[in-house]
Amino acid sequence: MFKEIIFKEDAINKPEKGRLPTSIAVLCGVTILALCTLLVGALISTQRHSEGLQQVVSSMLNKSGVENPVTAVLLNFRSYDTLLEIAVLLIVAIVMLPQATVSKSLSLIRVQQSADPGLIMSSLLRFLAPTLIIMGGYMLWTGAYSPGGAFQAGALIAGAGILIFTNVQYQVNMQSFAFRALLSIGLCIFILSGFAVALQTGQFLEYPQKYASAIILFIETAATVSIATTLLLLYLAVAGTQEEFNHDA
Amino acid sequence: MSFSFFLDIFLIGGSLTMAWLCLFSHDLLKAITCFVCMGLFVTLMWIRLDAWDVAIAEAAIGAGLTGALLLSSRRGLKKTAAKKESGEKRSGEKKSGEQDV
Repeated sequence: MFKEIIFKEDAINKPEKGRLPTSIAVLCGVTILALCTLLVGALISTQRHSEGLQQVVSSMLNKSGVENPVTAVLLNFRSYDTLLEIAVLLIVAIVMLPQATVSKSLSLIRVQQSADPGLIMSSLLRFLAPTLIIMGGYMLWTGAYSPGGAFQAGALIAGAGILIFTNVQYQVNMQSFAFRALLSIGLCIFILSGFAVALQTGQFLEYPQKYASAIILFIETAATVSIATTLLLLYLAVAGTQEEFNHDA
Repeated sequence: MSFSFFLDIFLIGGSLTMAWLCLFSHDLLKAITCFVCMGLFVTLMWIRLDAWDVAIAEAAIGAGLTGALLLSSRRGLKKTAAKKESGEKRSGEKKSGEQDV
């Protein structure tokens, strides 16, 4: 059913293999079209609902500790969902961790001065990486007032990390203790602060109103670090940089 | 017909075209580029829907990170393909050598 993978460089004209017969293709097309028509019809015929939960959220917004409704829902009203989301991310990271080929005792990041990254790479890194990291911090901070937040900030910082570790001079040791700590800090802090606020309010993850804003920022900061590390790990695991770490160790 | 109507039509048409090109292109690099372009179109659509949070996440993860991931997987696939090919060649030489003996 799926086409063979062909790289442009080594395939000029390969005969097409594995194409669906025309009749089946037409049948599939008709079925999908009918389903789409039904879906669009259902959407159009559905009566537009009232405001939904928007009013409830905006009426409770001043108690949440933040001014952005999205952040309020994510980290206060429905923080349990976000907690589980972070846990899912950690599981993904654990699954994606490459096999242990590097000693645990080696440091987190190794700098190889001898390798030449090239002029473009090094200058790009010099300008872009600090900017991206500052932008990530800004995103995290601004999440309380306007669009932004932990996930967006984490993605930006992960982008900076990819840029840094695409450079041949820098390599990260994914087996080291520090890397694992960075991966799991988000979930740990989230659960710990969930229990800590339970001491005060008696309910898991129910923040005391006075400190809500500070607690949310604290959790978000830890979550940002973990999200950034997880996304970076996804890239590094696929790119297979760990083999090189070992080679010239 | 206002400007925003044409903008919406452009965004819908653009993203659908990019999705089509991505799915039906034979060249992996072209498919990945089209995927990233589709991500950017979808980002603009989220902005049109006033969902800035989702737009930022889509731009950073949907277009940027996934694009980088796909590109590096492509490089990995190429590496294994090259390895396989060289392995086959070597075994082929051995076989022919044996026949000679």
